[in-house]
Amino acid sequence: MSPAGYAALVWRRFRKRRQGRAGLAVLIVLLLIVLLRPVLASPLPVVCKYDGQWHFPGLVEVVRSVPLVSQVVGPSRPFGLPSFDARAAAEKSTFAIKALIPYDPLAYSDAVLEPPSRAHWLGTDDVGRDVAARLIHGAGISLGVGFGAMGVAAVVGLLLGAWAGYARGWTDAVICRVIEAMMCFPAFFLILSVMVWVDEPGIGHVIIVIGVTGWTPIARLTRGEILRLRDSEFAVASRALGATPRRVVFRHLLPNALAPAVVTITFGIAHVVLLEAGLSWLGFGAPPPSPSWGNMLRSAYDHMLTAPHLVYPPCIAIFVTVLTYNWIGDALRDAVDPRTGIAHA
Amino acid sequence: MVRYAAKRIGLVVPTLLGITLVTFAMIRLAPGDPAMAAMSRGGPAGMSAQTYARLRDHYGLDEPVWRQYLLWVGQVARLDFGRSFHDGRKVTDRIAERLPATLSLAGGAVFLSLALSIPIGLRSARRRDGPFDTVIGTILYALYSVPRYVMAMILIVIVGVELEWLPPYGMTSEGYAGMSLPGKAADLAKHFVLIVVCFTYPLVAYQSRFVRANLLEVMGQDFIRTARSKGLAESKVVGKHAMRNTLIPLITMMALLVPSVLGGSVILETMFDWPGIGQLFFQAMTQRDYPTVMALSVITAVVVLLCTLLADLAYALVDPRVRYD
Repeated sequence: MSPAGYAALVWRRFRKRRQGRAGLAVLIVLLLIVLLRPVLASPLPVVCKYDGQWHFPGLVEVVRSVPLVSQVVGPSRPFGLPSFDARAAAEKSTFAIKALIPYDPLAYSDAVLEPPSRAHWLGTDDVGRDVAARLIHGAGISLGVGFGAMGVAAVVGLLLGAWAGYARGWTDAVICRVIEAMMCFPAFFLILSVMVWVDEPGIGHVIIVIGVTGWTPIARLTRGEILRLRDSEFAVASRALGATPRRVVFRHLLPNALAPAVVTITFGIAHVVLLEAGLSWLGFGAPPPSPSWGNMLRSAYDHMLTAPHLVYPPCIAIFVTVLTYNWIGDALRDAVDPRTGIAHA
Repeated sequence: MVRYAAKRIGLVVPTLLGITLVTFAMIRLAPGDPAMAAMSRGGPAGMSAQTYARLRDHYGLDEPVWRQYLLWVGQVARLDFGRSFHDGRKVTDRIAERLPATLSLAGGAVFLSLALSIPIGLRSARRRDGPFDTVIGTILYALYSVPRYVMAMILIVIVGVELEWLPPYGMTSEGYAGMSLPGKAADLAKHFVLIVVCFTYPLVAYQSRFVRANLLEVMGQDFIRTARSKGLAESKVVGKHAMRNTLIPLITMMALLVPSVLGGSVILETMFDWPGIGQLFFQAMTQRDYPTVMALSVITAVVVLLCTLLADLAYALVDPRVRYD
């Protein structure tokens, strides 16, 4: 079966599962929140008529949030200028559509540790930042770290796994022992051990460290699949036609070994999301002012005696995100391998 | 069996080597060296170059890397992990005094989770897709997606802070030393509840699903049909014939959960201020206490390795098919 035909088959089976549909729907909502965060939570108005002129500061920020675009497109003037009071300007405008939550996730205010109210839907934290705004911007960090770290892990895992499975012999033995040795360390131990030595940890470090420590399950799975496929007829035929090992692996073997790896990667993203939040809680994740869910959890923990309401928003956000990836992963697993469907029906 | 066991145990040796290499590399790749870290801890600021040189000599840092590695492995083999940079006490002593707190948690969680998940899985499998199966299945699936520390935070806030039913953290109350013996026991038990719940519920969620799926698979097999057609009571068919084929994979699977439980203990014990191994690991990390970090890493990895080994051997013992792989 051609890879395209197989993908269509998996998609059909995936769609039949309620978990799959629900998970995908929530994921799309999450992605939309991440994409539209400048118009969902920002002091900048989406559209406004200020000083007789039309401005689109929020929409400009949405465009600018695409990687690299911010290098070319500047912020909407005068709204994006640091000294400009966008909220006051929005009040003075003759017409303005404000963002859903008109607060900056990093801006301090005097309203400290306030319970949920009409002005601050989810209350404010210990330095007066709006919790709802932070939650929305935190989704971007969580998703970015999830996809980024699993991307690193997938590349390393697929390459090393394919190498081990195709080369066999000593290469295989060495890679397998490395995988086994690394799997003996709890993920948290490995990641913390590395993170502690980073002088100024940033999101990039978190992504790389989680990725570099988290590739082992993917590699193990890929190795098994490649080992199983490497002597199948289509691989032998391709070799007989004079294909180089690289071509055999990348054109013929890996595409066929990808499906189970994708399932592991999906569950892996759920794992990374909660690892990142846990790391941030311990103080080794995203650096403090950034609105990561783990940082929010930390400030909630530090102030739980005076402001217990701070605990729920990040907790629910983490739970929903993990649940979403678990749903998608389960549906995907059943779609990829219908045999297991019996046990999980 | 003997041949399989020998082969399997033989594979442990290179993995052990790998564990020591990973741990050693982790520390060696770190910026700064142990002598620097030892100096920045304790002692007056601005220590002399002489002290630094003496410390470098003490840790053998002027030797070639391979010799340092061999030296260190030699010490580890003799269970000599050196002295902590933090308080200068022997690392093994520091770990030993933390063990009871963590082991009691692990033991409590394993016992409780088995006591809950076996009956739940059994009942779900017997009335598959019935109301109990559907409701419990959904709840367990949701629980499975709740990270341990998220559950911990919510329990701490609701039960510990808002309702004030149980102490939110710590292992003992103030004035513990002055309590009577039953008072002490009650105090410990109160502090124990929340944290043990957080360790137990993911295990219950995972194991019940496992028991249910495994039972359903076993129930479809020929020997169960034979047992039924002999006229055995359903309770006997399930309880004896099917259950026996489920328990062993369950026990072996639990051995594989050890790393996740140990990894989770870092954040949970820190959150609950529980004086166990996980908290020690985190404290040692933030204090850059190399000897303690290295000792805990190696010990944990070796424990995990032994658990996987035991799981594999136990499985091979009961399932002859494994041996012919």
